[in-house]
Amino acid sequence: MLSRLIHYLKGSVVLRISGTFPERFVNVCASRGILLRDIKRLSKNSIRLTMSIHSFRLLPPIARRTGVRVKILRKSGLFPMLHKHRKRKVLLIGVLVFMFLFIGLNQFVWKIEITGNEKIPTTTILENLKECGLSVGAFRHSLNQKKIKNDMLIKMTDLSWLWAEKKGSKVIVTVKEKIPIPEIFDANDYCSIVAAKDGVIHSMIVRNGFPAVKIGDTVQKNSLLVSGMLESERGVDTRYLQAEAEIYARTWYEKTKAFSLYSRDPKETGAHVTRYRLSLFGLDIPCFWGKENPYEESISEHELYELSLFGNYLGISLSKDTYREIEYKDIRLAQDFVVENGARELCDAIDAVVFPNSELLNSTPSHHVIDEDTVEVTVVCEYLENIAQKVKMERPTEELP
Amino acid sequence: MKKKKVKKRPAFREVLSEKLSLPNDMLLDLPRLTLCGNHELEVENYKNVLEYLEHSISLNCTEGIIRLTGENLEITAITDDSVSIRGNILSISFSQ
Repeated sequence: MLSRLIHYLKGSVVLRISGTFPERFVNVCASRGILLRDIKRLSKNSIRLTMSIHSFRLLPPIARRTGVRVKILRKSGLFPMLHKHRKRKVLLIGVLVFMFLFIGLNQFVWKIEITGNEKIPTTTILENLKECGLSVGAFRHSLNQKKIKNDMLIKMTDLSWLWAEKKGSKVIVTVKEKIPIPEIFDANDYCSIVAAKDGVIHSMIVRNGFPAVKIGDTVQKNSLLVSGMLESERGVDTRYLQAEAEIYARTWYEKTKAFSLYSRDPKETGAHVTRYRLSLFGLDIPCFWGKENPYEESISEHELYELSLFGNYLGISLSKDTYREIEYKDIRLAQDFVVENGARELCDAIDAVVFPNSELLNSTPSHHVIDEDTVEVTVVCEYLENIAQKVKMERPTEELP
Repeated sequence: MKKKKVKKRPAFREVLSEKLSLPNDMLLDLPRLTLCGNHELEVENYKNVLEYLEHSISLNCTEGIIRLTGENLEITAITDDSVSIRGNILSISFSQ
């Protein structure tokens, strides 16, 4: 690849060598240090070869000595092309104007990509970036990445980190969202443990504090499980502690949902349209007539081709959207299949709301038919969960004697 | 008169190459052939091209003649010490 590029820049000439012994010509050229490429036999007395334009000047004495005739078939390369078009001044002006515009327009930001955001919408980040001086059309050499970072972190408190990386005319903004700080209790704070959910106590590991419930008790949400206040038997010298415990309770969840016995199965009809859009320095040019998506129901594929040089975006991109028409066909499913799938879906939904590291003890699915097209599925799941939740308590103010 | 039996002595370079475990092609100017499948061949330390046809190429080397036969043979690059050949190579033979 590199050698081809060098040959193109230096310029090559394709020759036809005719004579009784073209091999002699090849040998003499090789012995004089002339590099010959792509030698091919054309006929009994002629061969075709490629050499650099610079070496071509050395050929006449060799051709005379070896008794061959040399004919130029083709010239290629950058310098022969420039030489050929040297008198076309309008073309030269056009090329210069194009290069001037191309280089000039590449000094601006034409695309901003936001990555790393999950909760914060991209439009919000873009709006804030605009206020900090980074927007489409901004002069990219005037962008101060450190200032943008500091301004954005002050402006958007739910961001923990941000960096804007310049890649030619594109700026890639990578953000990290803040994770809420968990409530940290001071070692001297007084706190108790309450139930985070309703349940029946299964087991208790109390490390600090006074248990207010025992195994087998039914507890409701927010009811006291372990108290951090220890009173002496004589009623004096009350101690306030930070309760520490793991309280495992059996908890129950129930979920009900109606499911249709018909499934809408998408099927491609075979009809499709491809739409191209050219993005030229921030200007979006649609390259099609009529509606972008002529189908009521369709699936789409998006492909983006960006013109870049050494990884730097050059402000020009082509997007290709393919829309394939689909039609839905209703298929009646077996009732058992729907119930099984529905129960699995409900179990997954319940699993998403239980505490992490909980153990599923059992799940009981049941169903009843609402009408001939619908079935209602109910799932009851029993879990073993740690329902202990620390709650900070206010220490009573001591009365002065 | 008793005829003295002449025994051919190995050349000094050959002995040197053997004793010092040096590659033969370096000291003895032997041709080095690098074959990639049967599609590409590079011959170093050749002297000149004796014959070039589409189905055969003959190269003159210090040790004799290397003859290649094949189909659509093409010399992709040639310099004063190496020649690269591309095509469907069917056979390579050596002769004095």
